[in-house]
Amino acid sequence: MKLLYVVTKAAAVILGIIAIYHLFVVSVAAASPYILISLLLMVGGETLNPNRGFGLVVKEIARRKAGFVLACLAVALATAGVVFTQTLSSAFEEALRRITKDMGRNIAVVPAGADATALSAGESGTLLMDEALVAKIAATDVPAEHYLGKIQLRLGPEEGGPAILTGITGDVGAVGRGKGLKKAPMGFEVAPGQCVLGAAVAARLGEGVKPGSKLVLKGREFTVAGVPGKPGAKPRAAAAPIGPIDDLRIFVNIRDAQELLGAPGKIHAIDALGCVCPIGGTFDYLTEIEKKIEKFLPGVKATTYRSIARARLVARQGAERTGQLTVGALAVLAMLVIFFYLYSDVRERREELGMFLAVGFSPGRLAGMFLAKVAVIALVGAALGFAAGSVGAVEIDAAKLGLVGIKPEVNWLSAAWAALGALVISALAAVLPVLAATRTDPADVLRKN
Amino acid sequence: MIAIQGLTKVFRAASGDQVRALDGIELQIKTGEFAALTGPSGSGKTTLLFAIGGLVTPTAGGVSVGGAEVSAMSAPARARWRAQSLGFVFQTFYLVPYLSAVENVCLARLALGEGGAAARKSAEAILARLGLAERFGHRPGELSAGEQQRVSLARALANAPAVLLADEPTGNLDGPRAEEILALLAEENRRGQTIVLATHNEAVAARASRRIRLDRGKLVG
Repeated sequence: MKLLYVVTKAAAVILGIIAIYHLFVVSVAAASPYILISLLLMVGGETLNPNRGFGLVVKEIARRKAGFVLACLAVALATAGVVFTQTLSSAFEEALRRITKDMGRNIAVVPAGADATALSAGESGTLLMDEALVAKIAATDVPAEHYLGKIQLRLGPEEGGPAILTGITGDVGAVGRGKGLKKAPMGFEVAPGQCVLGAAVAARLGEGVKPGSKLVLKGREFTVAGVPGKPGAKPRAAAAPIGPIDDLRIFVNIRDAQELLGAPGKIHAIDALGCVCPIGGTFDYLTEIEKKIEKFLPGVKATTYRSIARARLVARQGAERTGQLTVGALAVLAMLVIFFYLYSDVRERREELGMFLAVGFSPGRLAGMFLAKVAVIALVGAALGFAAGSVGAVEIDAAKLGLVGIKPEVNWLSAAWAALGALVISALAAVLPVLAATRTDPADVLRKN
Repeated sequence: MIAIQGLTKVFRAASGDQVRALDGIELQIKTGEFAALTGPSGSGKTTLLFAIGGLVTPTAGGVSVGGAEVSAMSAPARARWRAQSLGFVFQTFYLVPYLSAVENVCLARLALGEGGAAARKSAEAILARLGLAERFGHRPGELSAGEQQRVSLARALANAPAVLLADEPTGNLDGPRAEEILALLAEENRRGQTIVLATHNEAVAARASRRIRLDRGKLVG
């Protein structure tokens, strides 16, 4: 008990220091949870003192077990719901991320006068621009990333087709908006002399084509490296259709494509992934991105594909908002249960509280006793809820619920958040009942007898 | 010594009317005295007792106990002072049902921030003195009314208070049990304990060394 008291006090002091740091350096919003928890621990710590009657709190809990268990279950239910939802929605978001990544980039930049629609339909590029523009635009603050320089040639049967020969640079500026946030490349790179086959091409070429097989494209020999995203895989077996145009592509290194075209240092287009950040629910932000790109790269035309952007936005926001609504509803439910439990507790114990005040307990001591009880409810509830929510989410048969391709995993960080959230919610729910307890008028309640 | 000067307490009733529970009380009770506040129901006995104990804030006038100006103290200071200097005994005992007899007595020490073995030992000694040596671990529900009131008295005496305040301490007890409690109070008074007891029962009041009569909030004798 002594050790618990010392640890609680130390934790309260450390959290207090963090709160002061946040108050001075970051913001009040960031400091507020630390302040709340620190205060809770300080007051609770007072009653944890072996000489200050934590045993009294424990005995009181033991006497009114039903109410205590109900309050713990409310916190556990809310925590389990939050952890369950967050674990599933994290997995859901990850699956969505993979799916929307497969949907490709949503911005095409072509030389002014070029037909971006024809290019996106798989036609050969006509007008050229400098490959250096890819690095140039990637270095700006345009809210887009995963830039990809591209050369595109339609190959006829006599040139190794039918296929769309696509020379690519690989991801440029695959760091989150220039803020140093590393991001995994969206696409893949092709080594010089090699080629990567789209699904339709792999299907047409048949079982005989393996990694290492030779293909002659436009009179030049290339070595088959695999299919998109699966280097070294046998093309016919591994190729999965992505979309009609990309399935028809044969990807090669940009240098090889430039040589075949006789246009060193040139490209037909830059593809990019623009930030989907709607303002007031509209997609005008994408227009802003187009304008910015055209400002930084005079002589080009930027086009955004809003259907892809919209799909990404709706999918991401849908998952996020559903999670937020569930969390909010469960938090309110838990707060209500704790509030009513504590309030009825205070009402039932008015005479007891009056007696405590009459024998010399201060209102602060009474508040400390209630807060210690609330802390116990919150921590027990959070622990039970985290265990139930995590196990439930991980053990659930997602496929049977129609959630195909989702693999939920236990998130230990959410345990800390669950405990913190449960403490904050319980503390907030306890404010009015604790105030009522401290405002008990002993003369009034003791006189009535 | 308890010194009460011009003590007035006015309550506002639910109807909005003002009720003058105490009206300009002037009173002194000496250290070691056993004083009984008597009078009919509604005469202001309990209000006066609670004002001495700092549970009621006077509308006018003041209360001083052992030189401490009770009415001028802040709420936390008054709580501390009550824990150190006062013991309360109530008609309905107000024992905590989930605590044993010893633990109930220890509450008074806990109010001072003292607990552990020393507090328990001292609580056991008081309970033994009041004839409850066999009842340390019993909860209130397992004790008779007379025993419960003795536990309540032990709790009031636990911090060796300067003043013991008792509000109708025999009101819920039958004749023999009431007699036991009165004998214990008399015994404590013989040990030097200042006692102020509120009762409407003249026979109980007769056990005190001084009778103070109230009627409609005023001292009448």
